[in-house]
Amino acid sequence: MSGVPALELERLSVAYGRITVVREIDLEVPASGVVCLLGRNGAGKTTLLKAVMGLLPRTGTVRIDGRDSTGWSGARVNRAGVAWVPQESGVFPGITVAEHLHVATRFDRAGLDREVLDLFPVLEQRSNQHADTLSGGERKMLGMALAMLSRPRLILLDEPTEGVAPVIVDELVDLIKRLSERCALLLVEQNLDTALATGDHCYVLEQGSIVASGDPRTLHRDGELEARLAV
Amino acid sequence: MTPLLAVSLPVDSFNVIVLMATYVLIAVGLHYSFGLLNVVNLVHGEFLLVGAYTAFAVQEATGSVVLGMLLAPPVAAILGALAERLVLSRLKERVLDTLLATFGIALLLRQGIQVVYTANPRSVTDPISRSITVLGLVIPLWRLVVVLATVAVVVATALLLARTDAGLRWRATVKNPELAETLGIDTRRARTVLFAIGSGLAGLAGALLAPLNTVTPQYGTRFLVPAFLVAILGGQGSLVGLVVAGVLLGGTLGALQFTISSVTAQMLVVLVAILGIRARDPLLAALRGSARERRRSAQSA
Repeated sequence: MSGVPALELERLSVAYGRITVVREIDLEVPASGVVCLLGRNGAGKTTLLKAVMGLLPRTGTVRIDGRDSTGWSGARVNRAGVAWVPQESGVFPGITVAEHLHVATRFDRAGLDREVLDLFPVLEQRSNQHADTLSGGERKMLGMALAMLSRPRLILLDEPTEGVAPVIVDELVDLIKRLSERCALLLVEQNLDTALATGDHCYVLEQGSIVASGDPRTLHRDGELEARLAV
Repeated sequence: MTPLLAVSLPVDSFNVIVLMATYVLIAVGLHYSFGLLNVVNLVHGEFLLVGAYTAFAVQEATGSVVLGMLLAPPVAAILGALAERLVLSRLKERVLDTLLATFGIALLLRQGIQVVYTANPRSVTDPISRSITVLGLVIPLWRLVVVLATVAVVVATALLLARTDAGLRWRATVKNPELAETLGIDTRRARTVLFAIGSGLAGLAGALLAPLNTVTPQYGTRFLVPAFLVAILGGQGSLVGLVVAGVLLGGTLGALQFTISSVTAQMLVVLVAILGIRARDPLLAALRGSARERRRSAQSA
């Protein structure tokens, strides 16, 4: 299966009512490595990820490990090996960190991967704390741990460094690199430095359409990325 | 016409406890549908009605009222599951549409039962019809069963939600459905199961209370308002709050209806509920504040 891309999008479009937010996107994430999706606020990045996860109605084709996922629920997409770390680092309010981890292992106590827990020692320290009382950075780490515990073949990371203190950003970049050793990543970012530090390939999204793609360092040298991402 | 809050029980002090239990029992099903799923569930009373008529129908058909009481919860649960899957799941987050839909389903069930069984009052036999005397207090055994069943249902609900994987799955679903879905939880099924459990508990309540009341097609309607008063006063989604509210309102009615007229007692219960809802949040905030203060003092000491 290693030759089959982890994710393929063909002419993917998403609309909210009569407003089309994502237009006819073609995109591929190989079975390993980090693909970055760059774009300004409102470019349609999060909408695209939600459509891949089966959370929004869409047109076009989404293939996960070569299988057409049309009509799949979010739960089925997850069971097919795709995990999503949302931008807002959503948690279940009033539910402890330990219970979050238990949900992510699909209620299999043997599935609590020691390697994953060792990456996030703070989560063990906070295991009996309600997740909604964690700091922003801790929530991001919890989100990544939840994604990893479901043993995915592909993780969709939605702006992991957004709103996080600079000192935590370095930690997160390091984590992204370690994550990429375990599975394929589709990293949605506005932060150019994070994309350059981690990405093997990148797509630039503008007003719902892909306007550039290629090696992030080459695009950076050509000034393409700065021009597209400048506010 | 039967007064809205009336639960017809003879006068004695044990009946105050029975009324407290009754108020908790009729509302505990709402903890699932209204408290957790946030469905303003106007069909709740009709699931009590279905429970009562299932007990009656099985009693008529087989002579066994106990069998009828055992079948009442699954019958109501299946109807609840169908209502959720076929109608309510399509109206997610559309509060007014959901309100109208549950009102419509309630009407259908009520009228359907009236067509089959007519509007004539029916009786469900007391399965025990004996009493015991404890410290001079005469306790009808069936009423004791109602109280014990209420305690069992509340404890089972608390354990199910807090201590089991299924409970964690359901709590995750209601707290953040999008995240739950993307962590592999089938949230659609979870919602249906929660609604079915709530409906089944309403059916159980309807069957257990049937021997203490006359059963007519209006049987469920009279329980709907007190059940919602309890669920709202208790704080949506709080099982402890629901029990406290049920004990308070049932106790108020029990203490008053044996000393003043039943109608006045019911009006006072509504007044207590309104005052309670207004006072609840400031009171809880004050209690939490003083608990924090005590913790701080203990830490500094």
